[in-house]
Amino acid sequence: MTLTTRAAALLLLGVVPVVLRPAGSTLWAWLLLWVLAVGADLLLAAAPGGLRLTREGADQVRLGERASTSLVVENTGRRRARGLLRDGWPPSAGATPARHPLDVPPGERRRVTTALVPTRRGDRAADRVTVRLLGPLRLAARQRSVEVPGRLRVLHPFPSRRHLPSRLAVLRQLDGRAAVRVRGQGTEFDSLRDYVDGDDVRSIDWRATARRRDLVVRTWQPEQHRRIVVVVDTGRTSAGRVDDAPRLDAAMDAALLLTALAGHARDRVQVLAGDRAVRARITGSDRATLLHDVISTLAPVDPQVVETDWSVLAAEVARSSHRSLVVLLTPLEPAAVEEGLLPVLPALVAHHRVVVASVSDPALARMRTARDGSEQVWAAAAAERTTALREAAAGALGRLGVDVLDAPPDELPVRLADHYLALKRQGLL
Amino acid sequence: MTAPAPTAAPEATRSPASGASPSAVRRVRGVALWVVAVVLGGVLIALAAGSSPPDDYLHPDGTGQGGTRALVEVLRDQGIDVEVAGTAQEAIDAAGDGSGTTVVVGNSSLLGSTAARRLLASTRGADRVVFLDGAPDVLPELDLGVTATRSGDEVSAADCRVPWVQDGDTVARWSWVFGPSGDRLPAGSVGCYPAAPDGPGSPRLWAAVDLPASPAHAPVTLVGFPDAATNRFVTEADHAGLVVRLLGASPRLVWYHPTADDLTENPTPADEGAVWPSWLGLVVWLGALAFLAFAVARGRRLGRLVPEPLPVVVRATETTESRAELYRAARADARAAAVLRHATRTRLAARLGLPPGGGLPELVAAVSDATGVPATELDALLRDAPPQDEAALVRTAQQLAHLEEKVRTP
Repeated sequence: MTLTTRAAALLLLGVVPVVLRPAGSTLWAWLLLWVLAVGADLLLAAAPGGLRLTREGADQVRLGERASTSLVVENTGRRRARGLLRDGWPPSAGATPARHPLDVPPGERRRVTTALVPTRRGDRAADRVTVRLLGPLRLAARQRSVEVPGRLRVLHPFPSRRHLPSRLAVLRQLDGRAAVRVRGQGTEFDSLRDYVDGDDVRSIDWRATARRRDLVVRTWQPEQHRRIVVVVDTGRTSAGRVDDAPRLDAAMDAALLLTALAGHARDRVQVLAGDRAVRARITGSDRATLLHDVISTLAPVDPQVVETDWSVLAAEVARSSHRSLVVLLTPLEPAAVEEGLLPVLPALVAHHRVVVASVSDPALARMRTARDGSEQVWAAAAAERTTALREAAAGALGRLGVDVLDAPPDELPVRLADHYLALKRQGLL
Repeated sequence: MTAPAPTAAPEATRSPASGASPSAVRRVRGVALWVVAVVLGGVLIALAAGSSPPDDYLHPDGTGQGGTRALVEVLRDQGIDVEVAGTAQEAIDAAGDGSGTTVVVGNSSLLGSTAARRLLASTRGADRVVFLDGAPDVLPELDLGVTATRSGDEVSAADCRVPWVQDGDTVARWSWVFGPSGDRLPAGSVGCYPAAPDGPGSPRLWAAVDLPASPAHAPVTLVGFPDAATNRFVTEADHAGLVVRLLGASPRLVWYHPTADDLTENPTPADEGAVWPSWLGLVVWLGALAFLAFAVARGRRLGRLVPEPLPVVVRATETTESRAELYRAARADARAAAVLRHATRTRLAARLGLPPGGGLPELVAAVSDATGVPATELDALLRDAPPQDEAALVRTAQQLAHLEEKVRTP
């Protein structure tokens, strides 16, 4: 139960009789009257247990967009249910309004809709729904909280998807479907067709032409069904914030763009995320739902404050003996790279083509170039040192035969996609 | 984050094993000094406050215009033992059984009726009780049969026979005149310095009244001209003779000067009902209960708080910033300059197409060709040499940035 401010005001109204008849008995009589009124109101209020609550609405939303969740309130009691309802969500779910007015006549049902504008990626579980039902005098209310399960999965916003159309155009050029055809390494024989003006005369298949009376050309298509493994590092180094978002989010952005592109190129994509253990694993068996599966599975993955165990992740990659393109999305932190990644790389490089893609920090470049006053010069020296160490780590990786990409968050997805296309064009997959 | 002062550093590192570190000793010493300062200051303030003479009206130690120090000194010169009391209890204790003692009530502004009644009842054995300023506020409650009114009229000559008034004694200033509360003064009373009655048929008024002893009190004298005892006016007219004869009649004089403490020690029961309305207490109770109900109403949450698992927040540049802080704290000028030079050399070499591990002379020559800057100047800038101080480091850093800019945009 709970009181309302109206009950307090009613109690204060007792000043009038007390002033008119200043005696202790007046006070006691007023208090008795008040208690009776509040008690009667409480008895006449509808029972919260008589409300049946069911949840409807979206179960996933892309970060930055708006979703809504509804509660259908059915009054199975005999009294009119009037009062307040609160649908409890964690603060980062961005639920508005915080409380809803409620008025459900007996036997009827009403829908209460809460808008959700989440501020962070991940899963948000609904907390309890609290109902406060007022009595007819609105002096007192009965209150109860019940669990109405609900979950909203906030997906990665995937901002780099705007680069997808241009990269798909490049992919179509590689593919035989576009006007320009490329023959050479990395392509495989596709089919024979009639010569049309503009075709490269070098692609005429003379043997087939001899069999028929028209000119016949061979068409080529890029290699397909290559295996691509994207490993997203969720260890401590991925927790660092670059421009107000953790490095992990930028790494996921790059992983998603590569997944989308490689899916269109009919390559088999596998995405892994993990640190000391594998946190997420998506095997692209179904090309149609691949991208959605990856976005959805990566959504609840958060950075962990542990050192990444690369031997676990490398063992996961090495499960298949097929030659693959292995993309490691991990920051180029010199200490972490030297102690964790370098030891496992030789075995990987021996069997696969390995690319390390790292999210660099634009703030580091700003620190490096700002040199007004001693404070900034100390910072510049430290930034130069950090840059030199990163370059040394990148050099060490390069000597092992690993391709290293180091780019700011908004550039990394494009750089990685372009690198993939370049590899595909050269048939290095 | 502040770097420890260079002088403190060796001291702190010398005795890490001993229990009390120097900083703790210094802190304790500081606290002790503060305590001593506060105590000394308090004592000084107390002394200063206690040493100033009171400037209350009719205070026996008052040396101002309204004080009566002059009169008290004269009485002491006459061999009279003057004692000062601040509360009724002190006055009663000082008066003892009362024989050979005159009790005088000076300033009555802080005299409560309870205190006045206690004084009268406890000093029945005294030679005389004098109300030097007439005590007009409490007079109606003492049942002496006398009331006081403020007077601006003339009073005539003494016209009475009491021991302390001599024929022809005149009074220059008066504040109050006394009249009977009934038709006439109590039997045996003597009025001096008559004033004009308020109207025809009204009882007579006097500026001083002597009341005889009764079972309830010792002989009482009400004086309506308190100014006569003050330092300023005691020398006017016949004031001095009058008050000295009045107060010097007994070998002991207890001067009762009521204080605020006296008022709280002797509360007047009738006061309370008069100030607060009778319903106030009940309304306060009701208000408190209503406030409680309001607090309950507002304090009840609509459902529990929902916990939020918060993500790790680490800025990616944090290690770099800490490295800068370390450089600064250690004053690693040489190291910072070497790092900056190395970075610039690496970038310049890459820019000008030189092999990464090339020597300095080749680089200097290439840069000189590209920018036209003399080779000696470039050599001094790019060759590793520790800067003299922080300012030199800043200068070097800016020159390096400038050089890179020049190579980038020739």
